[in-house]
Amino acid sequence: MKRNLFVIVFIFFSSVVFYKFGPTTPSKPKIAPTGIDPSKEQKLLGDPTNSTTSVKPQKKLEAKPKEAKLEATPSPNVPSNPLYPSLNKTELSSKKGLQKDYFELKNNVLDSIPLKEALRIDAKKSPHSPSSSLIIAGKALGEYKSLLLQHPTSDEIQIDAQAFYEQCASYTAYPNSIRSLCLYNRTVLSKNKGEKFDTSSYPEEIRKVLTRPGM
Amino acid sequence: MHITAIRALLFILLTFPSYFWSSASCAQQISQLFENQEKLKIQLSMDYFFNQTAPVHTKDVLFLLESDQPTQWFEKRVNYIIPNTESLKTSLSKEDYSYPYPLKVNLQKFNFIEETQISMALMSNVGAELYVQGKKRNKLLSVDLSSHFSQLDNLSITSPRVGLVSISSQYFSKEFNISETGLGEADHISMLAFLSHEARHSDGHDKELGFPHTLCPESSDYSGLKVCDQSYNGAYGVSAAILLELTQECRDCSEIDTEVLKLMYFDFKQRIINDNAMTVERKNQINDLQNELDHYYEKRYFAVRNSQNWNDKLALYEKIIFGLEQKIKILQNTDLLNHTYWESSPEEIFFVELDSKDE
Repeated sequence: MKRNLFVIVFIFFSSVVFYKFGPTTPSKPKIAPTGIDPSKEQKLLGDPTNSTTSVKPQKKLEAKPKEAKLEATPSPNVPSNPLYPSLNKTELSSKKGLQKDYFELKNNVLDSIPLKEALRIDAKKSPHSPSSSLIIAGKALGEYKSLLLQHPTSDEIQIDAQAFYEQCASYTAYPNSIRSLCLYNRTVLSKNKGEKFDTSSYPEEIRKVLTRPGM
Repeated sequence: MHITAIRALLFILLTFPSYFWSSASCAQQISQLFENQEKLKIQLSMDYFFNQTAPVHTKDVLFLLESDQPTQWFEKRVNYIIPNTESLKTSLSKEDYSYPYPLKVNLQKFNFIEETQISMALMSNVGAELYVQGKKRNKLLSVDLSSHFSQLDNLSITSPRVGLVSISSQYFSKEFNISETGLGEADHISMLAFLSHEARHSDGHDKELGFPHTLCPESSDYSGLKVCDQSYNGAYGVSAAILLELTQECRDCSEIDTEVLKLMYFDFKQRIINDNAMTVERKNQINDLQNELDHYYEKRYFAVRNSQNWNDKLALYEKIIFGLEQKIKILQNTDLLNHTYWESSPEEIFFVELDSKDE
């Protein structure tokens, strides 16, 4: 009896030890921010409020040009276009941590957004309702936005997201509904920072649907 | 994923008793030919809609729904929900019926849903479609629904508002799920938006019978397809308004769910055409006016150079040129605007059933 009890207690403790210190399988979270430690994020991107080192802001400044020279590969949906660099897919091998999660989600968004032509073909099949490709794109855009909203202080991803939303709203091969949503999200990003975003340069059908009477 | 599944399971278990209770009390009858999972999804969406606790409706929504509460409005227009089946048994009456607002010569224009699209649509207002078909032949159509509902044999299509709506099995496929299980709050909202769309097709009379869709303008994603609305209170206007309101009330919607619903909302909204939209007809009109204008520019040029009494002629040409320029300016204005409102009152044929009279 005593021996059995000892075995049970041993198994219990060993499982606790295994759970605490054992090997962890790196599971890729669907919504990346939930799996990222904010302190790790600060280490990766550099926090302007962190005053422990004076070198950090310089490091951050160095990182920016690198960010601008993203190793972009064209998305199957979007032909490589110098006018829309933010709509090109990003090579992930050089990215780490939050940046990697961010660009992974962005690549996913770029893969999932249907072009106008594809949407028209879908509309012929099911005329009354939005095509399933819009639902898939909406989910990808939702995951992307979740990450942005959870990391409002990560300047690098916020700046890239702003550029992405602006170019997405301008890209005429994208469906108007997607472009409107991008423009809407762009204004949300500005609003969150207490700034105003001027939408007047965008076409009427993209811009006005946001504030159309009857909404 | 596990948490979502557990939440969905809990939701089903908790609402299980009310499932039987509400299916009896709910005005909408759901066909027994639906698969269990499909029936459950429809029933849960209905319950979600009808059990909303004291929803606050915006003026815009109430205006679009002719001052009815959304549930009341819906109940008047959707009564029977059946799976999209090609083998719907219809029968024609022997005698000729006189329909209100007789059809004019061009029947093609009157087709609010093309026949090729009927079988493919995710949802369809079969009642309204059959009413139009009966009207074309001046016969009263009736549908045999005995296999769908135990307490109903034949449904006479006396009005587009008989409320017979079909849902394709494709709608229940995973690709149309917003949440993992397809039974989340966002899925209910999406289904209710689609059903409200179909509900609006139960309305209207004469040229607006069934609130037909119209060709989308060039600026639309669906340019050249008949999937847009001419009036702002049409099927897309109503479904957008209901979608927006339910999304704002949604408690369990994640950021992802909300983003999908927002995208659907923008898709619906952009299908309400702009009264000022640039069409091929309008472009031709501008072209013609431009040619006319060029002609007068030329005339003015020569009038200035050659004519002796050029003052009178020049004044006349200036006046014409000004008028043409103004017309072109108006036609070139594509500002979003929609003031087209369609009256929702439906057509109905009044008849005395001979059998009941004999009894």
